[in-house]
Amino acid sequence: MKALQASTSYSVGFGISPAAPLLRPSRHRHVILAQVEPSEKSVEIMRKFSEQYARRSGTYFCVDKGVTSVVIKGLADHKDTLGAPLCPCRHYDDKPAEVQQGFWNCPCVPMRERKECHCMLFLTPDNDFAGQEQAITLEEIKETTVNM
Amino acid sequence: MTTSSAFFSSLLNIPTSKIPNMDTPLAKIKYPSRRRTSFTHFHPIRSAPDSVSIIDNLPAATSSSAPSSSATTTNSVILDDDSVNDDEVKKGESRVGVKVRVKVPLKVYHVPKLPEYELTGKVGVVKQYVGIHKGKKISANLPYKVEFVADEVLGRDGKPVKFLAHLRDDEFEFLD
Repeated sequence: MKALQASTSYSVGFGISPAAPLLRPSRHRHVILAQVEPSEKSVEIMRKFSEQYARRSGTYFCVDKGVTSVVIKGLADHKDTLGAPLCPCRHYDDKPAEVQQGFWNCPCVPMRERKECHCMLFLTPDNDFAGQEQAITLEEIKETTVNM
Repeated sequence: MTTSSAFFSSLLNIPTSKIPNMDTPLAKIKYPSRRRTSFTHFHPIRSAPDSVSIIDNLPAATSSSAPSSSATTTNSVILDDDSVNDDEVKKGESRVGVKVRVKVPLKVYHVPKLPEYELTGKVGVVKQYVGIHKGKKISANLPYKVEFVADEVLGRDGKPVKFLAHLRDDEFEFLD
């Protein structure tokens, strides 16, 4: 009771409960998050795919795992919205047509044929930004893509 | 009537002397006149942005026409851009079946049974132009699908292995 009195004495004279202003910002943030985030299932699928493809192609993830995470999330988002993981680092005029045609479906043609990934998801060992890892955990993805 | 004028004066914050006689309908209330800024200063700015003094009309006319003509040329360039892409698509599609030779250093990694394969100098046949799909433009940057034969490797049936590679139009030359 005494502690309560101390806390209320700090905001004395206003008569506004401290709970009201706190509700508004959290609700606003929740709305933004729901529109941008891909489903966790798709993120997990693309994470597993990225690990497997890096092993199979002999490529490595970037030293900055934030880059890898953003690309994986972008792939998951396209998989959710379009049905196929279209390369998230490019601009398209007609996304469903691109999905049907398949050039930019990850792994895209330049990656499959020439091992050129301009998203910097799969890096050949001679690349300056290539790390030593071919694995990334879901926690790492979440940590490095914390949305403000 | 006098009360109405007093009412208007208090409402509009204008001295009562300026409010005309309310007997005349649709009386125009005269506001203190504002001094109009002269627009003559804009002419030299439009014609020559770097000079400060006022220039006579002839060079102003020519300099003002010059930017407008460049504006029209840029407009026409923008309009032509779409037709340039269509020409490229038509050119690409017309080249299907033509033999080509790769002229830049190029390695591919997707040939079966070969981890790496050097394509420089190899001859292939254009199988497809991938820049358009069901009438819609595709943003593929390697639009020419060319079929090569890997002589060094024999497939399971004893024939040389065939494979497809995507190329850009500046990476090869047509062998007509």
